[in-house]
Amino acid sequence: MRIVFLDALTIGAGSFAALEALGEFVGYGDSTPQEGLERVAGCDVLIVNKFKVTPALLDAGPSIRLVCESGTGMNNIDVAACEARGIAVRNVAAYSTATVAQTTFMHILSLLGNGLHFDTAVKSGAYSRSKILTEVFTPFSEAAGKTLGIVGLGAIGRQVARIGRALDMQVIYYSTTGQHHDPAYEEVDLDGLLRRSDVLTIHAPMTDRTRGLIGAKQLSCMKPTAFLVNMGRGGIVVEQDLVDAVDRGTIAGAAVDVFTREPLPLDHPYLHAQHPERFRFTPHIGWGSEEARTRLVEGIATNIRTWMGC
Amino acid sequence: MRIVFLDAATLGDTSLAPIARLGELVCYPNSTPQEARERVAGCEVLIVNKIKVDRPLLDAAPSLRLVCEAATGVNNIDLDACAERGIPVRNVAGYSTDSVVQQTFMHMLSLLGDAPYFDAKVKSGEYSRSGLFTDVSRPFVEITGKTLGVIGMGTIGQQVARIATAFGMRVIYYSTSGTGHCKDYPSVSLETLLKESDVVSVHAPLNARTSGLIGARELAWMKPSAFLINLGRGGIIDEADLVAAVDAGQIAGTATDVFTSEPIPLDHPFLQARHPERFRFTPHTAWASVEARERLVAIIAENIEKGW
Repeated sequence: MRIVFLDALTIGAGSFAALEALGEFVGYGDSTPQEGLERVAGCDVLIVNKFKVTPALLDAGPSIRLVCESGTGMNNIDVAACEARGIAVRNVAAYSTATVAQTTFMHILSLLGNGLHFDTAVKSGAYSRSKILTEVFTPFSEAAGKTLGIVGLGAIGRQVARIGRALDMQVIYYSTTGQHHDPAYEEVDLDGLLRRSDVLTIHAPMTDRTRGLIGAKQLSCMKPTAFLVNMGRGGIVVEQDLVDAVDRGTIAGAAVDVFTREPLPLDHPYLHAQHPERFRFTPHIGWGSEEARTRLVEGIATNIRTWMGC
Repeated sequence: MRIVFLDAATLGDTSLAPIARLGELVCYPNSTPQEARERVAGCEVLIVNKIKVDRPLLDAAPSLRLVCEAATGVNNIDLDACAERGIPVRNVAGYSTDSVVQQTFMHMLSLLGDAPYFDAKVKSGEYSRSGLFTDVSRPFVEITGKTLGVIGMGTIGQQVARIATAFGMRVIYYSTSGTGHCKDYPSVSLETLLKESDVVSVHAPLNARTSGLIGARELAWMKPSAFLINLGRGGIIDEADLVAAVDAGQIAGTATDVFTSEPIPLDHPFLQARHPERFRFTPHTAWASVEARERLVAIIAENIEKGW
């Protein structure tokens, strides 16, 4: 059995031993659409992360019987075309919940606690020259007692809610689908969420309901002391509007892990903010601790084994 | 009533209005010992943070009725001398717990998640030029399932332990007072704690038991993947040994809010580390959220209102 992974670099240099044990495994770091067409010849199991699985690709790989998404979202796969050819499609869910929640709070606490500023104050020698034992001229605010507003109360949103409550935050949420409810937390509409949140964190998928959900108008409803964190998908927040709102002080700051275009173009507004110190970024790694990547590879291997019937 | 605050700069720009309401408040940002003796003449209520309240100072303040410590620790106050003169001493406790706990997790998550590295990757444009939607250049560590070793299980240590549990960590602790009073988590020896922990977090006071508690020998017990966080007091960890251990990769990194000498001297080993990216610092600010400072002022005012 020939297993081909067309964009294996997305998982990094981790071990693919679990996949190598199942057959003849060929991993390509990355593939252009043309290379993809050539590389699926003779392939039985196709693994992709962001690579587009189109009818043309399936035609070039007539022996493909299973497509494995090495992630949760399958926007890149033409599932109907796969089904029409009798090809099974499997994704991996929940492997990254704990890591995304962790990265979310890394950002929240860095924004609230002014982590970068204070670290620089010490490393630059400014603290040493200050003659005062504590640097008290830059205020930072406490999480305890503040309101944490969550957009999207799926598995990640719920984990974030749980940790927020452990930090003594008041948790409120807005369900973008209207399907997720949890009586443990107060459900509000988007307007209420925007107006009340001291920290607003996004954990929703990209759908027609969430595309452009938060733009200039919504940002103007937020408190000037509030922070916005987007760990969901890039297009949920209008990126130019967010930069304007943070630079003008409409809100206090933002942290972003996901972008409309990835990687971020060099001329993107995020890279030209007047106040970069009010922003925290991670390059779409919120999901990708070493442990989560290991679980992901194991999840793909399990999907293949289950499909094989063993 | 004349109220004198000799080192008010330690509270920054926090409003002292709740105290000023109680009498004639005179604030000095900081005072040398000589200045302090001059400034306490005619003072009835003395507020200090780190200024030494010793016999010469008390002798210079014959009208003094009350000493208010604008913090928890009263090491700077000669309590016996105050007692002899019938001057009560009141400190403030518990006002900074939430702030310290929060900054502990800020540091822990920044170390585990390599925050400055990834932030710089994006802001420098390196991510944009990478051609990849994500960044796999440096793996980071998941907090869930890891072991947190708390040194000093007081109010702050217990709060840290509770939040760590919400993150899915296993918590063990070492009691520096030897009482091991907290039954919610296993109490272990220092050696076991250092050997088993993925993150060690120090929340102990500085005393004879904790001074120099962790040096080269103890650091060598730790895992090469482990992080050491000190929000307790400078002097509990040997600072030169810590820098040597982190630079050599004997442990993975460290975060520090407190220093043996504050502010740290420019020639301090912390500022000469070969791998500054493995370090996180805050300039003894973990206690000082806006809210904690407001609580501190409110409680000092209450301490004055109690009278003498």
